[in-house]
Amino acid sequence: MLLSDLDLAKRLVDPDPKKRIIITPLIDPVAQIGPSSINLSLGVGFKVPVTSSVPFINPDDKTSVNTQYMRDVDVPVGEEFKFFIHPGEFVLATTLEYLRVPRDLGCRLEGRSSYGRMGLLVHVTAAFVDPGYSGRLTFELYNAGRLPILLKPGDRVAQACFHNLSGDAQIPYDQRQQSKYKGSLSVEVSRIWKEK
Amino acid sequence: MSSTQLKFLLSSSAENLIRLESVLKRRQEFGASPEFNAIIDGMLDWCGRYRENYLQHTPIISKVIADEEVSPVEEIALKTLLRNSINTFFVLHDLLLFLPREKIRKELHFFCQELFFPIYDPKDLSIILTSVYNAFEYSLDEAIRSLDVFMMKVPDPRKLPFGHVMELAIIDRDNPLSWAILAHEFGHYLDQKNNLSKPLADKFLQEKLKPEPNLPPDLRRIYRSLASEALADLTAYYLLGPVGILPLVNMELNFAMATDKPLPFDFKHPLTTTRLQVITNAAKDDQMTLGMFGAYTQALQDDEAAKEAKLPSDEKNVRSSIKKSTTEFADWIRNALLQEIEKFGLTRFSSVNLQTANDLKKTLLDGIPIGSIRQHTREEIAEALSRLTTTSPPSETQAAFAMLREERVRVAEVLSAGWIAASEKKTALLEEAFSKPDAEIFPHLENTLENQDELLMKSIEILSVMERTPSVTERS
Repeated sequence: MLLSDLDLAKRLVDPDPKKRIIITPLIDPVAQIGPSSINLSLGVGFKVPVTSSVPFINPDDKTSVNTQYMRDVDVPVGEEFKFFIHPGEFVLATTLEYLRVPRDLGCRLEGRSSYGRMGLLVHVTAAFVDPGYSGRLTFELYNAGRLPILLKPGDRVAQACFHNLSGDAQIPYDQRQQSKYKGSLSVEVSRIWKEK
Repeated sequence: MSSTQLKFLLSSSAENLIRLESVLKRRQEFGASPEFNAIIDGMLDWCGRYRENYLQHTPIISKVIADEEVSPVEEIALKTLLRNSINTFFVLHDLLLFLPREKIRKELHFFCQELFFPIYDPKDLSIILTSVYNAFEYSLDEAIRSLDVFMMKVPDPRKLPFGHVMELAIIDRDNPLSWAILAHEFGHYLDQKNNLSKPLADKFLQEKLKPEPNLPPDLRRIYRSLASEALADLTAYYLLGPVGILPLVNMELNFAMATDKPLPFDFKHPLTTTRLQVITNAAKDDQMTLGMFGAYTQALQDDEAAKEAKLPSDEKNVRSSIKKSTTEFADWIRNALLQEIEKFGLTRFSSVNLQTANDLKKTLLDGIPIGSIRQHTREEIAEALSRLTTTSPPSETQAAFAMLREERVRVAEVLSAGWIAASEKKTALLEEAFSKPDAEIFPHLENTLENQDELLMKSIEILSVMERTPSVTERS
């Protein structure tokens, strides 16, 4: 069952830290809290694929996944930050917000209709956020449209909705040894090599 | 040496080693060109040896952590470990200058833009990464004038007059806490552009020392240097509060590890304990205290006191009289300098900001970035939400939701919160790490430091985005 706006708001100030949802910064709650979701915005960092020197991605090879395939795009100093995602382009970014999901809730990252109508997807396949996750969420941005889209940090491109679990997760994400993105604060590339 | 002191120094020393290794590893992974691999590998090899050296001392370090008494021989072993580590660290760090430098972080630009507003202009003031513990500020014009290519003489920035280049140690690139040093250097920049401290130093000599008509030029030079440093310290204090002096305290403690004697008076800078005292006095006038940074301030005072106690009495007397006269001078000049700084329209750090920083610290220690803060307590918001029913009008619901709004904090508050947190867990971090098996000690320290840096960096990033977001309100 999805949490309603009022339940979401109550969870944000729950006296029990284990049940509290953390989403910070909540810059404009009236605009961000929808009937059953909370809008999330774009952070500053982007990682874009470097294709010219990498023949293929080898998921077993840390270097090819970690350092060769993606490069950082930095904010130009003293100018307004603008990022253009071109048709068919795939880039990684993060939420500006830091999230903490309690162990009795699941969370889904979804796009927003207004951006979807321009062709922007915010995740390619991984929308689910586990109970116990804390950190920023990584966007897998993809422009499925036919024109470039201008993106700026702070743009509210996505939303998170939360739903009840049948019970508390026995081993939440933050306590699971195999979790690869615990406490992530930056744009994270795949850590699939850790599974090998 | 007390166990608190030893714990502090061991923790600092391990931190230096880890930060150096991180810089090297990043260069190896991300910035490496094959022509540098041999150098980077060689340097990492040296770091590895010191890691090993630490681990060989684990039984003694564990005793220190458990507050058990260490024998004189064990204490000498630890001091030797500290001294060798810091010396190797200095050398390796400065060797990095022979490699291409990395660019500074975008968060650092934002830090400067906000902290030095409205004066900061990246077109007028450059920041470059440089040699360890030589954060200073110098004139590029003078550097060019004194560069003698044919004689292969590179100018020593330490000997140049102040100007438009601010330097930050390479090791401090990713450590926002250390960026506080730039507030001090910014004070030199203001001084150089506006001739603030020199007239006040001359006035002091004229009024207080009642000099002969022909005052020895050296004395004038010394007092002008001291005034210039006092202005820089007070600029950092003005912008960041007590935290402004902490990078210098930290730097001094690192240098102190390398010697058995107290660091000498160089006739340019007041002794660091004197500078600390001056800032403590200024903070007291502004209803602030340095108590929450006790781990740093006490370590410095204890270190100096222990070393001074071993000096011959004539040297002790000289130091004591230097401290007395420089403190008197700094206290005399302090308010006049603060008034000069005030004229630039910079934002002054107050006791309210320190209180906010102390509140933010709790969030930071919980692993959450701290770029914003709510104006209402959780209880107030919960109470407003509990009054809502399914029939409540939308305006009432939205009014309750609006109470969740977070407002932007100041970069100076973020940095202060970071320093308070670092001070509180300085020795606990060492205790935590050395309670683990040998193989996990350094990885644990490494992860914790990386996380600490990232949290502060992300907090600054949040501030920068919030600043550009129209719906954000500034905290009153």
